[in-house]
Amino acid sequence: MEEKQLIKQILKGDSSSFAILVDQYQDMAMTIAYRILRNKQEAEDVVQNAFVKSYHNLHSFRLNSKFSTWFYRIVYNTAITSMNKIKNRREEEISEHSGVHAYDLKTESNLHSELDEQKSRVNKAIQQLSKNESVVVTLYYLEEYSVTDVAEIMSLSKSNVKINLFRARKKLEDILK
Amino acid sequence: MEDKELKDKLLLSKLKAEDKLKDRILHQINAEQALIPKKRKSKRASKENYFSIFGIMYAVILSLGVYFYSQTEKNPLESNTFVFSVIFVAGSFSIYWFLMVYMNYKKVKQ
Repeated sequence: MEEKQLIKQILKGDSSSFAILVDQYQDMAMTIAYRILRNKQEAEDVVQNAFVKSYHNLHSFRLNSKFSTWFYRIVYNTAITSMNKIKNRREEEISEHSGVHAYDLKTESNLHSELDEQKSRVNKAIQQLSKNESVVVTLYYLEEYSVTDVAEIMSLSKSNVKINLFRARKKLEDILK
Repeated sequence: MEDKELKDKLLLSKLKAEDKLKDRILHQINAEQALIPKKRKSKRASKENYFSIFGIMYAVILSLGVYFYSQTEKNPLESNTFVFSVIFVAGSFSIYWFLMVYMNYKKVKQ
């Protein structure tokens, strides 16, 4: 079913159609939230909140624009708000979280296989980017968004996105070569 | 490094959401949705109550006025009996309305 039709159905009150949108966008939403929060549990909470927010505010979505851009913007803003809250509440614990995360990544991946080793290298490389840089490369390379779309999602100027993209590409090339 | 090569490498870092996340999201949406119509319904019911109770009250006061006028052919507002009757009717209906609102509130809270 076409996305616009799906959204119209949800607006008519068919909440089960929303499950299709969740299926379609949850992985990328998780990736974006994780790039900012660097903690799986918090990223999951952010994604859940973002989906609920988008469901309740779907009436404000303009059907002639792209749903994914609108939705990822909600995910990005929710993640930033969540990160600021965590920062304010317990600044000291953030470093502990990143430690836990590094452990999670190591334990999650089976380092014996070549693919997992490569995965681990890429994850470590992304962790060395700033939060904005990692979100920019994710949206630009994985979702194949234009610089304009990335700028819209992250509320940045086009030149700022280009700078972040350039820096991220350079850092990744240096780490992964 | 070429863009395609970089993209392939970045694809390795894409996360996969857990299955239970979708269930959590849909459960929260359904739970919140189940609460909204209840609230709207009770609001609408209390509005209907308000208009019907006070509508009947004004009809009773009007008929009292007409009755007093037809009996005495004087301005009913000059008669103490009429004024006290109106106060009694308005007071009784207001207490009844207040009780209805209070009971509705208790029902919603439960």
